[in-house]
Amino acid sequence: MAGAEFFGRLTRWILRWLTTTNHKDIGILYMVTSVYFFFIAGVLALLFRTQLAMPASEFLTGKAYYEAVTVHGLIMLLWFASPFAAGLANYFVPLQIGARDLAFPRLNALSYWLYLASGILVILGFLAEAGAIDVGWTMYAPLTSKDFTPSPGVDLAVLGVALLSLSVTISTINFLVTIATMRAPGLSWFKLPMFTWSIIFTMILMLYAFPPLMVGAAILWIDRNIGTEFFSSPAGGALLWDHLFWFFGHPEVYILLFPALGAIADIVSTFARRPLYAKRYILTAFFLATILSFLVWMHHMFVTGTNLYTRLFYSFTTILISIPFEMATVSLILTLYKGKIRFTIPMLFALAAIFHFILGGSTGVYLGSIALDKGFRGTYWVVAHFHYILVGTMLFGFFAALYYWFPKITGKMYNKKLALLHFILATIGVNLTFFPQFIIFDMPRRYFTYDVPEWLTFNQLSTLGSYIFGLSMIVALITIVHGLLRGSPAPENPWRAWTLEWLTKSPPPPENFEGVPVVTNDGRVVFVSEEVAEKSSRSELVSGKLAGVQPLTGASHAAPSHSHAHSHPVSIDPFILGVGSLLALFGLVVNKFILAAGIAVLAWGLYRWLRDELNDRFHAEIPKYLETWPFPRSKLRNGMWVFIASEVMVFGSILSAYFFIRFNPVGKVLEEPWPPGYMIHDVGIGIINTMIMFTSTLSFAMAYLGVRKGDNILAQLGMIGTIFLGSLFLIVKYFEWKELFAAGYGLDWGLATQTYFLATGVHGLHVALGLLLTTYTLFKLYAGRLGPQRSEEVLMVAIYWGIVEIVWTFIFPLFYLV
Amino acid sequence: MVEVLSTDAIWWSLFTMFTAAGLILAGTVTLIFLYLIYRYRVKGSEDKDELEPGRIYVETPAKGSSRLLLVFTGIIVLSLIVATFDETIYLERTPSEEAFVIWVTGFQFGWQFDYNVDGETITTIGAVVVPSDTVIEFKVTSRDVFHTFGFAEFKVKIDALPGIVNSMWIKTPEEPGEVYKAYCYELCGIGHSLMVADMIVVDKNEFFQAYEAGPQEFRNFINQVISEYRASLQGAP
Repeated sequence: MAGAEFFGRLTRWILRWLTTTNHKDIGILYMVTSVYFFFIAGVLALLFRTQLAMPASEFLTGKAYYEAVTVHGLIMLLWFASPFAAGLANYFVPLQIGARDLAFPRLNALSYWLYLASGILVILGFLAEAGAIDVGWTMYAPLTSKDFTPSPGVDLAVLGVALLSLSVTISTINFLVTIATMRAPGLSWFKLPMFTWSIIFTMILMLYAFPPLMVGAAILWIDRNIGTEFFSSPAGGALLWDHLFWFFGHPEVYILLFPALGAIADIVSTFARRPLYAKRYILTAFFLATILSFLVWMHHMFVTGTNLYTRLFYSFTTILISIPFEMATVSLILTLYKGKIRFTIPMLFALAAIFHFILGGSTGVYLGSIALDKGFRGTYWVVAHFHYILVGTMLFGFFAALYYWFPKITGKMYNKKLALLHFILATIGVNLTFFPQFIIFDMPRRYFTYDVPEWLTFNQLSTLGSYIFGLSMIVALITIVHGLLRGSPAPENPWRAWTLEWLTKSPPPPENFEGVPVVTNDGRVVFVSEEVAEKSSRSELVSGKLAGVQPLTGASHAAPSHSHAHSHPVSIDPFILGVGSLLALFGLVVNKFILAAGIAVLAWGLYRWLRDELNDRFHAEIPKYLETWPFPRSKLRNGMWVFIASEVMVFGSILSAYFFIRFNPVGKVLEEPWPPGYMIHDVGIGIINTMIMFTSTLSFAMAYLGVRKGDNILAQLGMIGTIFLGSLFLIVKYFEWKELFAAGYGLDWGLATQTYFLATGVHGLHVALGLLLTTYTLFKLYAGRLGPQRSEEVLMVAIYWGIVEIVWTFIFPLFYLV
Repeated sequence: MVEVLSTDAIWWSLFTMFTAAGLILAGTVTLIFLYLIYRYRVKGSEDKDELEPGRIYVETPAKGSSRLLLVFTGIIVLSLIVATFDETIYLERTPSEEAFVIWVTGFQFGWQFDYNVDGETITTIGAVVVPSDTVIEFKVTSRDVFHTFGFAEFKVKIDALPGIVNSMWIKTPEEPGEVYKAYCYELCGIGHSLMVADMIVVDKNEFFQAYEAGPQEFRNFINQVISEYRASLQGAP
């Protein structure tokens, strides 16, 4: 019977990880998965470094080399670096702000499962007969078109990127709402630890950078499979991809860097025993870099031959963006002044990261000059520069964070000697790999073979370095496993650090803290019981003079309370939706039956999700004692506005693509001139549909009023009206499209109709989603779940209809009238 | 006629300027960093300090001198870039109206070069012959995917995009005889590494003599130079 018992325990263990919604579990899942992807991408790097150690080597074929290079880049950037930071953020942001969990725990689990599914999609490409994606992680058009790379590996990667973007967008909503509305009493914005601050900026960057990538990937997919020619058109298609991709691509660099820099800031300050020097400078720097990062993307396009003065502007902004980072670096360094520096392992990694950052940063300044970029573009100088940033700085920052928080996550201490060996090998490895690449900066990137004898030695040094680095990763793995199995128990606060995550057990209990952490006016942290927190006003709490305040060293750990709001309900639905997305997208590329199965699983998961939603299983109000200034005390409302920002970027990207193609004549002149909208489309029908759209929104506004006043008849009428009008809109649209195809204005007519189908198609999808939401709201009304107190949920749907309507008011004139 | 500076000379002067400024700035910061690490290190494993857990420490306020440091380094970095604007504009525009024009077309996987001789097009693939001591303008495009045309030695490159003609210039050296490699700098498919072409510099007078003698003469001249060069490669051990 021992076997059965073991099996039972195994099943429970697996189920626990599949159904968890606790932010610490999700954080561990993110970290473990991303490290797994890291090793895959790392082995690929060793493969192509081996190839380059010999001239005219035949270790890898050209095809295999480019698959390795491409998947290495994609996985490292999108499926290792950001998700690892997301793992750290998942685990530590709620702890650092004194919250119980993220604002939307179930959405958080969904983010994770979508992320895992998207990564598997990319890796599955290796199983395809024509191999995995091999067009470079930048996926430059028109090489990605079906004519040049027919492999389904490309489709899988493109869909993977789109799915990942969705997962990221869900995460951004979750984190921004959490940090905005769930901070411990007294923990004002300025007092937030640097790591949490870096996550705020990262999430803002992700929120605006990923939707263009998602739109780019979606367009690329329809280009490849439905026959549009957005990116393959000789009328500037290649440049359109460049713009969309780098609008995402440059902020992505800071998305990768910020979390590491934030962790480094906390670590340096902890081990120098000094509060951060001029934190307000660092925050200002991060803020400026966040804004500027959206104004520098064309420095990746300095040799595309676009307008000189535009490029000079971008050259200027690019150099400008080096200043905030210089501010941040100087502040980090001056934190050491008058400190008492302790050279622990995290500190060693953090200090080494700052060294690498100075080198990697200053070699990047060269690339901001258009004249110098003419020499450097596409060479190993660029490779060396960004690897000093990404490996030397970001990865070292991650190592620092890993060793810093290892005792907190696992409750064990790691072996210092092993960790020191990891540090030494990693530092030698990184510098030996990437410094020689500065010296052979004449060598073009992504060459699997070369016949210039001077490049050989440096390539061999570089390869040797990469082996040493690979070895250091094995040492790291051993250190971690050894620490988990044999480590001595870790105290609550081994580093005598002063951020909130250290004021609870190692590892923290599911509820994170015993009681509610409160930061008093004089800067102390005290814990009060929830009953007291609920009854007291904010000023009473932060005065620190309440009775019943617990000492904080954890001497007395009362049994955790199990109130409804705090227990962690589990849910398998995020996992089901993840499996469904994986099946559906894999099936989309490979096989119709798998696609159908995937859609069925998705529908089932969605049904279960909404059923839980209807029963309020995951409903939790924000306790009134938490800090929310200056945002409203409502998860839904804040979440909606963040979501709207991402929607603005989605439609902004689509409309920008339209403007770029239509009004920016670069490249070959289109064979057919672009006809004005009224020549192709029936303006009368367009006006009728516009009226229907407006009326449906009005109708939903009526429903909202009805719910608020408790008038169920009015509410029902409004919702049914909206469903009727929304469906009517889609039906009219269907016949409009049918007419166009019949009249020869189908997809093959040209870019004029393709942009129209894209914009109205995506808008139509939004209408369909609105119909789904409205139908669900109607159900909720019938189930008696809505009332004047719960009218906010209806307001959110009303706002959603508002967006759909506003988007239409842009689409109608742009596509029908001009 | 105004003396035309070579593209690589301009590039190296800028590179030197950036490196000097970088060494001074980054070097100073690094030295301060090292000094602070050394000066404020703690040797024992445990020591007491006044910062205790259980309090929130926000920041150490900035002093005036550090602000000055920031402003100062900011000005240096910004002036660096503004100082390169002139050179950038110079590099962008072909400096001589008498530049010799060669059309370049990238394809998977090679470079095609076209000369226009009296209205007739002379085409070579994989190798191009150019006169010494002359400003050459390359008009670059692509037949299929995104390529980037450039020379490592001349420190210039330009994207070769389908449907778009971009322009790039170099000034060839005064002495003939050298052979330069043109590379592709953007991943364009599995043969990307093989997209290398030879640029053979011949004597200016010989070149233009053949050029003015008409299309037939010029074609023979070009073919002869290229085949001689290729034969010399095979003859080499």
